[in-house]
Amino acid sequence: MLKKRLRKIPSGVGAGIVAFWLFVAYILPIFVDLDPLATFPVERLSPPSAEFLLGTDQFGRSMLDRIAAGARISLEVGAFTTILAAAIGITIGLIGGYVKYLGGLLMRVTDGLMAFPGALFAIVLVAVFGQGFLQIVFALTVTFVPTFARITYGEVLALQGAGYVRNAVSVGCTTPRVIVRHILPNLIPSLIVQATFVCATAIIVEASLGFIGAGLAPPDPSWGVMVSEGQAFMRVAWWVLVFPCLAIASLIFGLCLLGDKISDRVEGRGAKTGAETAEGVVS
Amino acid sequence: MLLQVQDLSINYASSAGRVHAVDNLSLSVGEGEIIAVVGESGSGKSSVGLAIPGLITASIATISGSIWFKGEEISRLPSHDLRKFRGKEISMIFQNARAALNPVRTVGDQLLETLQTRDKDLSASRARARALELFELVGISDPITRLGAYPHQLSGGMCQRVMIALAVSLDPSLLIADEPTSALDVTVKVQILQLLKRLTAQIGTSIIIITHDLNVARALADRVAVMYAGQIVELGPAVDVLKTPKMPYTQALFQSLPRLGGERGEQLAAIPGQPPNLTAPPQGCRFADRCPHAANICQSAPELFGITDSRKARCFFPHDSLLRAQTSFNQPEEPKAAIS
Amino acid sequence: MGSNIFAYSIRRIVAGVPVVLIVVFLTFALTYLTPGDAAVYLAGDDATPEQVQEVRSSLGLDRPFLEQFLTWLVGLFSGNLGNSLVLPQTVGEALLIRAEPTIMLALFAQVIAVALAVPLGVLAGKFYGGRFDRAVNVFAVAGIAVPPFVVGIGLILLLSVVLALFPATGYVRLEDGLLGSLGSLVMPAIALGLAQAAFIVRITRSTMKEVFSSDFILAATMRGFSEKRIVLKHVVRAGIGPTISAIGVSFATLINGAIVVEIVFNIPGLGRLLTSAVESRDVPILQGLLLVITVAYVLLNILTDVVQAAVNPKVSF
Repeated sequence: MLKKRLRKIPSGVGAGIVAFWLFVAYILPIFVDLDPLATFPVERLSPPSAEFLLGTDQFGRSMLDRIAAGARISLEVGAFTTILAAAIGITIGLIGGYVKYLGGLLMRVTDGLMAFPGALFAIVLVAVFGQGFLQIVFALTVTFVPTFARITYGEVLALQGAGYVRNAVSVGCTTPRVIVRHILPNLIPSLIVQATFVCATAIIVEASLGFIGAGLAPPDPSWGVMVSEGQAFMRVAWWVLVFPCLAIASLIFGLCLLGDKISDRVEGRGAKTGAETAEGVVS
Repeated sequence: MLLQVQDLSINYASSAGRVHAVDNLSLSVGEGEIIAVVGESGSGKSSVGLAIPGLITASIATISGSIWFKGEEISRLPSHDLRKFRGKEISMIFQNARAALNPVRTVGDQLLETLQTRDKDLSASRARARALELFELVGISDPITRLGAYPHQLSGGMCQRVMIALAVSLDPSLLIADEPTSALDVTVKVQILQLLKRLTAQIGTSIIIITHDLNVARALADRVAVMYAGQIVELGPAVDVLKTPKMPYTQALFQSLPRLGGERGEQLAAIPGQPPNLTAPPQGCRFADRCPHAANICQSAPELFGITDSRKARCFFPHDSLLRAQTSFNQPEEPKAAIS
Repeated sequence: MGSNIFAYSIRRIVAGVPVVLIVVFLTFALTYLTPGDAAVYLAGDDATPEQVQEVRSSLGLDRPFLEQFLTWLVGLFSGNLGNSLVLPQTVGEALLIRAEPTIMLALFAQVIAVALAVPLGVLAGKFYGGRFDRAVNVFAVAGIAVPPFVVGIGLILLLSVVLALFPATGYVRLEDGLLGSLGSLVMPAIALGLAQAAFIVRITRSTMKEVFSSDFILAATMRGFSEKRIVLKHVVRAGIGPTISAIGVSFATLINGAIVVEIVFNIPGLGRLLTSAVESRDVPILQGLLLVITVAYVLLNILTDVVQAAVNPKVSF
């Protein structure tokens, strides 16, 4: 019994960490007045104190306020990217499986997109289209669409041959009905697993972009930007650097644990693990 | 005695509690003897086969009792010392031969490896000659080509022959064969059984054959041990046990078997009920719940009573059941007629 | 067998050609879509619209899409990736100068990753579910969760700032000695290698677990082989395939990670080139980087497939 309990803890930890960051990003600001941009020049580089729980940065801005605002950016980048990429990717995969010529062309382009190492492609896209929030979401979406398209396409091809789908077709099920009733339900487990990992990866890439100066730019409180700015002060003010680092690591860690748990649950139902398919995009 | 197993018990840890897979089992095997351990899946027969060469480790199960091989208590040896017995003294044939062969190495490579790592003085050319000899011994045609084949390029029967060649390559005194034919076609099955029988005669190896198939026991064994729910329930010379089973479970097994020469349309009798849950085995006779002849006394545990010098049955009414066997069951075929 | 492998390699390379062509096309299309073109940048801030137009036509930017693409493609085949808008070099030259530190870093990190991941994965597979295995699993999840630049900063804090063991940043070029060069890359390579190892070890661990519990390992044990022989000659050999694939797939994260880690440790490689090109919107450089790295990645994947085929007898050529 005890062993069972011990094994159950991680799923709680993963979900707990993600819930914590959701709280910090969306619930906390309702009760506490947070301003990531307000400067207190006298308080520049103050260590953590009762007034500034996580200290202040080189402009005297509250690290707590900035990290909470950064959580919002990270979560939104992750969520928007995942939803958009999944929606577009699934559509392309379905077209690929059902519309002969257009589908073939789309899957070719998908193959080409897959060949780009993910984060690099995103960086170049952002560089070309501009360093804003929407551009980043756009770039990441383009980067992850192929992942979803591939899974859907593969599943459609596999299922078109499956006995029960053939049966459904032979008794006169329409294509949309086959897709909604037979194909999509089969896809859901692998897509959910994939989604968690895409979300985590998108967050990492956004932070990396911010860090190397190719994503959101100061004074936006992206965690990556904060790490980049904090690097200069690591010898005098560790809190400026350490807290954003911990924030990124913990959120991703939580998402990975959650994803692992979900994939454990749905394994055996034919889902690939995210680590195998989210290939190559983590930077 | 070549092998003596005394009071062997094996408990596996599982999420539902301890599974008492094997309970106080004693068994001996003589030189050149073929003994069949017969039972349905879950009876503990495979655990016995794995426990003898020490393949069940303390990390997955608790093992008690002792196993003596050629006068040495091998159950007390650390795994490092057990190694020298494995292959050379005791070897094993597995149910699914293809799965028991390394898929990324040629079968010849695996055979040569076995020969050469166990005999460091064997030269490469001598080893090769011996490998070819072994392949011919187990009836592999075109052995030179087959040495270079990967398991996936061979048929199931051919893989089983390779497995047997590997198992006998070091001239073991004891061969444990766990369901060696259940993955094979009927015709191939007969060939493999014939091969095993021939090998015992030729090399003088003793065999423990673990099977759920009474026909396999009939074709091969000198003695039969029938297992049910972790215990031996009947033990004796194959001819006698198969002809006049004494324990109701053994009788029921026969009734559930289709017979050559049986009446057309004859009903096969399934044994009613389920084997007991081995996390909490019954106090009394483990077959009592399913036994048509159970009496009140069967709520206490029967021993493996001796009936004659060579026969034993774990039943309070073995003579009674002998009478029943003569009256209510058809006599099985003369056992060894089918396969010479 | 050797010639078969050769034929297989050729086939894989030929099969990779369409993918590369699509990559080339997409890379070009990308820059064509760029809002605000290079001419505006080159003409300078106080250029009149006429001047901008002049620059544009001198660069050929006012030609039709297909014509521009073909011109660019012809240039590519003669090894000409174009000129940087900012640097006094061609794109090819700029890439060549910056490639060395990145390649060194990537190789060093990958060597560390493989040397760490394969033994850890094999042992975790052997003791699956045990304490050691759980530790490896935590490492695997953590290694994926913590991005290399955070690991890098952690290493700098620990090894340079607190313990003062290694120089925090900088790179010694290969021509000044291999050892010195590797020495300057120890920390970045570890930072990058850990993440790579985390990815690879997951795959190795789960396949090795399967192999360890397979019948043929039980059978090999029954033949009385030593533990060492069983692990090295049977388990690893039979289970290395998925690990090779994982290493192949991980080249993408390796490239991405190298770029970011370079920034942390201030290494003058392709990552620096990339960030400066992003800052100055130096599109030809971006294009060149994307193209060269992607083609390298495609080639590495082909190489992985070939190695995979060589170790797996079930792949028919």
